[in-house]
Amino acid sequence: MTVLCAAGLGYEYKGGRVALSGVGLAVEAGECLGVMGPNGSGKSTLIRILARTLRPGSGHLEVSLALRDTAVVLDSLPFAESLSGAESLRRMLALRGVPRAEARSAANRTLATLGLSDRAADAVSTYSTGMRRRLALAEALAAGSGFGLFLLDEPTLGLDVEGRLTLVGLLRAAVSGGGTVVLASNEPSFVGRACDRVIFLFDGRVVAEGRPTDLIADLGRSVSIEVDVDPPAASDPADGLPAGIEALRSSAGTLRFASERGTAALPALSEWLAAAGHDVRALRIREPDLADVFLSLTGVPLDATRVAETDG
Amino acid sequence: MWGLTWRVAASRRRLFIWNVLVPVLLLLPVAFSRAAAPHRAAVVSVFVVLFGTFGSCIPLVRDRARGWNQKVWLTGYGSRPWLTERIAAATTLDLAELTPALLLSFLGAGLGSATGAERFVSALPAVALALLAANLLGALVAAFVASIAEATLVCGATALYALHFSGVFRSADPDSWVWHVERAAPFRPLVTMLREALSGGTAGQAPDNWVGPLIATAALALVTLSVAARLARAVPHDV
Repeated sequence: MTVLCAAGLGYEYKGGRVALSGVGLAVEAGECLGVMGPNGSGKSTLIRILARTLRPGSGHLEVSLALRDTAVVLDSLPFAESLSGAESLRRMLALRGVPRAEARSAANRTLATLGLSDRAADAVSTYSTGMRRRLALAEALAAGSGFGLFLLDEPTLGLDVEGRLTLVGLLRAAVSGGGTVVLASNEPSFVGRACDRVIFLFDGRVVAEGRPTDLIADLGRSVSIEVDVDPPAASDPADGLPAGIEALRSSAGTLRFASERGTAALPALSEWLAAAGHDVRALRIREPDLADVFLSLTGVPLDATRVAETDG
Repeated sequence: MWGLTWRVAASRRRLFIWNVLVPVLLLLPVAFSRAAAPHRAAVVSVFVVLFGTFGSCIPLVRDRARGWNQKVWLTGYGSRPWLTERIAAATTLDLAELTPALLLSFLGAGLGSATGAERFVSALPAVALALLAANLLGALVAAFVASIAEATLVCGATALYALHFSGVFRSADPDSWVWHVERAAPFRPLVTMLREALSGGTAGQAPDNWVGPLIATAALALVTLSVAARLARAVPHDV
């Protein structure tokens, strides 16, 4: 069953800034879709449109589930500050019509899962940003399979590694139970683990879509190498690179390479760096991830901030 | 939403105490002054209406800005039931917070404690209607302003105009159009009740004096609830 279906979605902010243009997507029940893109690429706007808090300027959106069956976590984290975390959670569930006893047990269970049991009785106003994020996620996830659709904007912000892994488990459990998830995030490892499918947004447009493993495999490389150099490289290094090593777009102080030869490429790369006069400060080798896919597609790192695009 | 609004208010005891104390401190000098009853009635009327209007508008604007209204709406709770319950809770809370100050105003009218309390009780319907109308007006303003600064200005202007057309500042010529407007103004029962009660007369209202204000308040409620979705769905922003 298709839970979400959108075609040609467009949105323009006052002043002519184009946030989305011609975005189409379909999400099936029991699927987790990740939306990735640099800051300003339109991810949050898309989530808000899917949550029906923004009306698209153009295009068509069909959501088969009512708001009551939809759990939304947006970038703002408002709470009834003077209430305790547990009571805040129970009362939000009550607004959704969850019976009191069920709300109490769901709240206790979810707060424990997200590591908030110790502070459940404390006023929300005393919570840190990370705890507020976890409480918002607890509100979204407390009813478990009771919700059909989860729309999450940057759900990992403020979460530590353990929290992220817990969230992956909770989302996969929700999806296994027939739930549908659409999340916007720039965390390649989180999206790679949590999502069945990912779309890349760039300047408000979908530039690629696919399963994370397929997208990464299509890169055709076995490792990504990042080298911090001092003084910062003035331009992209490409001349005289050893065979089997590809230079990617670099940012200030960091050179990026890809290799099909795995770690076997390192000695040759080290020699080349020394010959080119780069003073190596740090070198990181990792398996390619969705950030590499995005970089190779657009030439822009995922952690970049896109400048607003205006008409005229 | 009714329960949540009350629970939040109960958990903010310090704010509740201030909301009781400040009206007492502001109305105390008026209550025990030697000013003429119509003047004292005007001051108390203006205070009650501004208390209700500002007290409704500013929290709604603030809660919209921080995303709270939207969060409640996203639970699937209807925007009209949400606003209805919120206004009902806020009106009752306002009444509870203003009771000591109003009681003091009646006692200060030289009526003696027993008579003053009795008159206060008979005046409660007019106070409640005025607070309800003020809360509705505040919510209506909140739907159209973008910031707390705007809310303050627009609330002040609309509440004072509404009071003006309730005859609080002057008496209109009988059968003039202003006189007809005054008879239907939601704050009219409050104004006439306070004038009569603070000058030693009866605080009760003839039933036909209520018809116009009740209809006007119902109309204001319909208009306010028609913009409930605008208040609930709005995207959070800086104020």
